[in-house]
Amino acid sequence: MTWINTNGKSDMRLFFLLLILFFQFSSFAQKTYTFSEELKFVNYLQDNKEYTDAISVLQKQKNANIRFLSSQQDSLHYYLGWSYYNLKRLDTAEAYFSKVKETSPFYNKCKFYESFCTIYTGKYDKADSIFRFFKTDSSGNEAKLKNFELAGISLLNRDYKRFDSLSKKFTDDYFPIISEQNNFIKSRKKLADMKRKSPLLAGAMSAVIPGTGKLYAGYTGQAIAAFLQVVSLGAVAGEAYVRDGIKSPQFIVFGGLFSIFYIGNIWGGAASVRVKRKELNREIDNEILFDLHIPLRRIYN
Amino acid sequence: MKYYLICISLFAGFTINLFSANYFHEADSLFRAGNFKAASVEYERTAYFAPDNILFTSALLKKSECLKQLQQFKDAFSVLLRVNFVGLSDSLIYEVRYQTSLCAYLNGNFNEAESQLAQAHHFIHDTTLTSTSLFLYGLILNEQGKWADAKEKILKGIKSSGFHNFQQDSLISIINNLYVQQNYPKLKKLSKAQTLSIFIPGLGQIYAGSGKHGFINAALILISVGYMGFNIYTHHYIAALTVSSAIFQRFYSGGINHLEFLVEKKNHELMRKYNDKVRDIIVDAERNRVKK
Repeated sequence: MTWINTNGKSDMRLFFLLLILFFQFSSFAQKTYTFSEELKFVNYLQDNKEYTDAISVLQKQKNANIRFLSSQQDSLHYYLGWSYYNLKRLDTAEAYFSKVKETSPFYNKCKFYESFCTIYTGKYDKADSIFRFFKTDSSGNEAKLKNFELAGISLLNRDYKRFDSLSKKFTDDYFPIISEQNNFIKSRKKLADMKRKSPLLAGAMSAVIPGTGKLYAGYTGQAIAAFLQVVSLGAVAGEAYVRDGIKSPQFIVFGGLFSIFYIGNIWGGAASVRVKRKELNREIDNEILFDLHIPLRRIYN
Repeated sequence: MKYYLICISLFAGFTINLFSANYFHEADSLFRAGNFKAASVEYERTAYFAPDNILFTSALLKKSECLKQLQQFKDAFSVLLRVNFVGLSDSLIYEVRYQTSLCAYLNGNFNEAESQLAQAHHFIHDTTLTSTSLFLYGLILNEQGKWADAKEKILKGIKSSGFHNFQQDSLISIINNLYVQQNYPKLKKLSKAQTLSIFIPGLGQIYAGSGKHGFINAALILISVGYMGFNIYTHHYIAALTVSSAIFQRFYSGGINHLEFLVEKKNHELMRKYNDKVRDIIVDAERNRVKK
């Protein structure tokens, strides 16, 4: 009962006890975090590749009834863009990157990544226009990177004249893009060397010797398979015709099958030229996209 | 002065508990409300602000619990891989290893699950801790087809789990009866099934437990051979050599190729039948536990 004595010693004890309890229980109240604290937390989440968590923290901030400063809004959009980019949701990433204003320290990075997301989703002209309005110091590294990205877009658009003029500005003094610049020049050569094969000629070749249209297009295995199919069906139909006559069921069935396969072989031969051309183009496009991406990761990571 | 020291020492444990409880307060309330996604973010925040590795690890453990509730076992496993074991107590290390193993097991990654428990059992010598994971260890070994090792772990688990004597004896007898050579799943061998089908088409499928597929395959091959014979008989040699032999070849090699799927399916069924039985026995025993 000494606790409630009125002497000074007991008062002190009571005071200390209340103080401890106050500090303990007052800290149970929900803590609110400042914007910069939240951004540090988001940074930590991104470092640990917890991008969905980062998005949920940022969206919570965005949806809170707070009037953000312009710089805060830029940071919010940048981090959201970066999280979505890492989750490979490039359309959403592009939208957030595009919202970052010129005054932001993240502006340049955002522009390059916005254009990359745009290129990756196949909107080459839009990517080109992003760079048209993106001002850089004409002799700085960012100008070299911009020139490199524009050259990549020109190659994707198969605008060789523009690529040639941009590639003249390629320099050997900016390490992060040197090897990719060389790769672009190799891709340009590959595209120039790609022979324009005629679907008509492939069809005609297949009509004369089945399968040769596919061989001409570059599909050796398919050509052999087509040859064997058509020739063996033709041989079976011929055998049925010789042995059983034109009205025999065997000849009708195999003659019909032979006709279908023969016409299909001509059609397939002609189509295979276009398919092969698409395949090669896609392969080179993927190489260009890869080369466009690597320097960005190298510079801005 | 003596009074203050006693008071402070008495409060020390209480304040530490309150301190960590305070860190988890918001996340815990979200967890209790069933808002696991938000709770997971808050636990991550606790990990971020954690002043020491113990609190950091506890936060990650709680986050992994949220992800488990959301059935995101792979993510829960990845979160626990971030734990740094330096300066942690054996009990906390064990808890992390156990939970990591459980998440890997639930995600079907049995090798990783075994590796986590093997490390826990190797580095932690306190058997009162490690004995609680023996059932899980047994279930993991079962999934890998290591029946003898699984039996050993499960029996050890029963003996150290504090069951009442009569329940313990009954469980031991059930496990001893279940884990005998003749009860183990007799898994089918792909090479044997393929060899059978090479010599007698359809037999490999029957061996793999799919008689229906075996009969259909054998019938189709017989029809194609019959058609080939008919072509030879009617002097259509080119047709026999090309069309009918191509049809025969398709059914013959197609049947052999299909065996890979059939054997895998059968083995999966056999494993499930046996392993699920063991799992149900253990879960039931834990549920109806009668303590000593």
